[in-house]
Amino acid sequence: MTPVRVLGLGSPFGDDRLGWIAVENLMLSDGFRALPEGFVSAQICDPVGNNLLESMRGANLAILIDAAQSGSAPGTVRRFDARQIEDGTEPCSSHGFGLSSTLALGRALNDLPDKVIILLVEIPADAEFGPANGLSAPVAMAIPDLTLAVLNEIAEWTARGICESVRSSA
Amino acid sequence: MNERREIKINVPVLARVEGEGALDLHIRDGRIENLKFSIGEPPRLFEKFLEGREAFEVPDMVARICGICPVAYQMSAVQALESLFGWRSTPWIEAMRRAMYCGEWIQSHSLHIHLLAAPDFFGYSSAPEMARDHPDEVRRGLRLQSLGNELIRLFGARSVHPVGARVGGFHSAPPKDRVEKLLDRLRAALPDAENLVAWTATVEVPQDRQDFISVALRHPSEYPLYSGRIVSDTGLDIPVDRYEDHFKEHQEPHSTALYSLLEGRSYLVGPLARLNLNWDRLPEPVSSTLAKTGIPFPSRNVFHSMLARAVEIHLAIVEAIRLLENYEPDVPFVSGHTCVGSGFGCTEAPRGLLWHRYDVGEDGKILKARIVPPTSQNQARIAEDLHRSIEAFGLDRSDGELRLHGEKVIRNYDPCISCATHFLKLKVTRE
Repeated sequence: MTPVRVLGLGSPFGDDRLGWIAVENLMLSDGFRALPEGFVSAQICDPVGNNLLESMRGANLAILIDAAQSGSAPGTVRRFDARQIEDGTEPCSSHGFGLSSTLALGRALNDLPDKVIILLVEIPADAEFGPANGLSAPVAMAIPDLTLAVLNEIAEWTARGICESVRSSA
Repeated sequence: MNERREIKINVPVLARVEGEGALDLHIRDGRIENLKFSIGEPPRLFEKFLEGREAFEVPDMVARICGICPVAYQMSAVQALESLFGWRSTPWIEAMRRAMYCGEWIQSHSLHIHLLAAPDFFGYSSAPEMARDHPDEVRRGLRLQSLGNELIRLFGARSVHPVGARVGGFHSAPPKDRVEKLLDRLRAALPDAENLVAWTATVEVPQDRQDFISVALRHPSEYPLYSGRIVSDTGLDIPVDRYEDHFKEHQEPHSTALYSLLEGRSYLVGPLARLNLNWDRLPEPVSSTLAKTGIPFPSRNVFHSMLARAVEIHLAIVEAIRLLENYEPDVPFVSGHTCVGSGFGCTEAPRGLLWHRYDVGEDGKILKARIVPPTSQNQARIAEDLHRSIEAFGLDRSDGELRLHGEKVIRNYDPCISCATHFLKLKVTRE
C-alpha cells in the first residue's frame, strides 16, 4: 500500500499495450529504482471500473498511463488532472465501464486519491490492435519522455509535500 | 388524421446495456402496429473458430466470448467434452467448479444491480450520479463485486478471462491459506448480502404481471448452477442432450443474433426464471431472508429480476462458504482419452441457460461447435415484453418517455448483446 501508484492501462494488443510497456520501462529505469522502498509501486491494470478503484485505494497520488486517439500527432504525450476527464454521463455497461465513468464514480464515493494524474499518449488513427504486434514507431519513441514525465510528476508531488510539511511545522 | 407524422430519434447511447440495439416502434391509431427489437452487432464466429481445434483448447477460447461470464462458457464447455469422453470428475472438482461459478454470479449480479439497473428505479441517468446520493449502496455493490472477482481469481488466476479451468478440472488446486483468507471475506459479506436482498425488495418497481414461460436447470437437491436437467413451468423436463429436440433457433431479418423458441414460443431464462423454478431449492438462511421480504415466488413480474439477482448473490455467498469450509487441496483434474462423438453441456450463466454442443472427430479435434447463449434465448421474450410494457405505459407519452421506458425494460434483462458498440436507435412512427 504505497502512497504513490503508477498504473498502466491497456490490453495486450498493438498500440493499446502502451500503458503496460510504459510501466515495464518505468520499473527498469534508474530514476524509479532510486526511489525509496515502499514509496511508489507500479502495476499494469486490465479492466477499468471497480478493479481500477481498488488499485488506487489508499494512495495519495495515482498516475494513470493510457493510449488515446484524439487526432493529435501520434506519440504526443498529454497530461490531465482526473477532474478534467471525469464524466458520470459517459455510457457504461457491465462490459464497458470506461475510465471517465470510473473516475466519476470514485469521485462521487470519495474514493479517489488526493491527486490523480492521467498521462495519455496519442496512438495513430489507423493503429491496429492485432495480437503481439510491437508498438508503432511514434508511440515507442514517446516512451522515454513518458518515463521522465512520470518521474517528474512524482518528484514535484514529493517536493510540494515537503514544502507543505515545512510550512505547517513553521 | 391522415397526415403521417414520423419522428426519428437517434439516441447516441443506450447506456448500461451491452451491444448495439435498436428499437423500431410504429404506432397507429393509439396502438402498436409494429415493434422490432433488433440486434445489429456483427457475428463473432466463435463456433467457426473452434473447428479444427484440439478439445483441450476449448475452455480458454470460449472464455474470450464474454468478459463478465467467462466461467460460464468454460464450465458448459468442459462439461460437454467430459461427458463425451466419459471422464468422471471427482466430488472435489465438482465442488470447486461450483465455488468458482459462485464468484461469477456474485460479481456479475452485483455489478448489474448497483451500477446498471438501480439507477433506473431511482430516477438517475447513471451510477456515478446515483452514487452521490446513495454512496453506501453503491459502495456495497463494489465490495460485493470485488469479492466475486476474488473468488474467480482464486481458481482462475485473474477475474477477466480466467485461465485456471481445463477439460478434466483445474490446472492447480488453490493453496489452503488463500482459501482461508477468502472464507473470512465471504463470511464478512453475509450482512451485505442480506441487506441487499431486503433493500432490493423495497425498491419500487412497475407492477406489471406478464404471462411467460420460465426455463432453467433443476437439480435434485441444489439450487442449479453447474448441473441439472432442463425444466420449464410448462412441464418440460429433459436431460441437456435433448435440448435440440425442443428448442429451435432461427434468424430474423432485422437481427444478427439468433432467436430461440421453445416449441414455437418465447421463453425467459436468467435469475427470475431460475428462482421461479427453484425457489424451493434455496438453502437457509437464503430462503428465510427472501421470505422476510414478503414477495412471493414464482413471480410474474419481470421487474422482480433485480430481487432475484440479489437472492442469488446471497445464495452464492452461502454456497461458496459451504463449499470452501474445511477445504483441503486435492488432485485438481482427471484425464483420459478423447473419443469421437457429440458432447452436450449446460450450466446456468448469470444471465441464464448456456448450452453447448461439440462434435469431436477421430483426431480429438472439434468438428463442429454450437453455443446457445442466454441473450439469444431471451431475445424473443424481450421483444414481447417491450410490446406489452410500452402499451401498458401509455402510447400517448412523449418519445423521450417511451424511449426511457423501453430502455428500462431491456436493461432489466441484463442483455449481453456483444462487447462492441452501444446504442439504441429509436424510431417512432405515429399515424
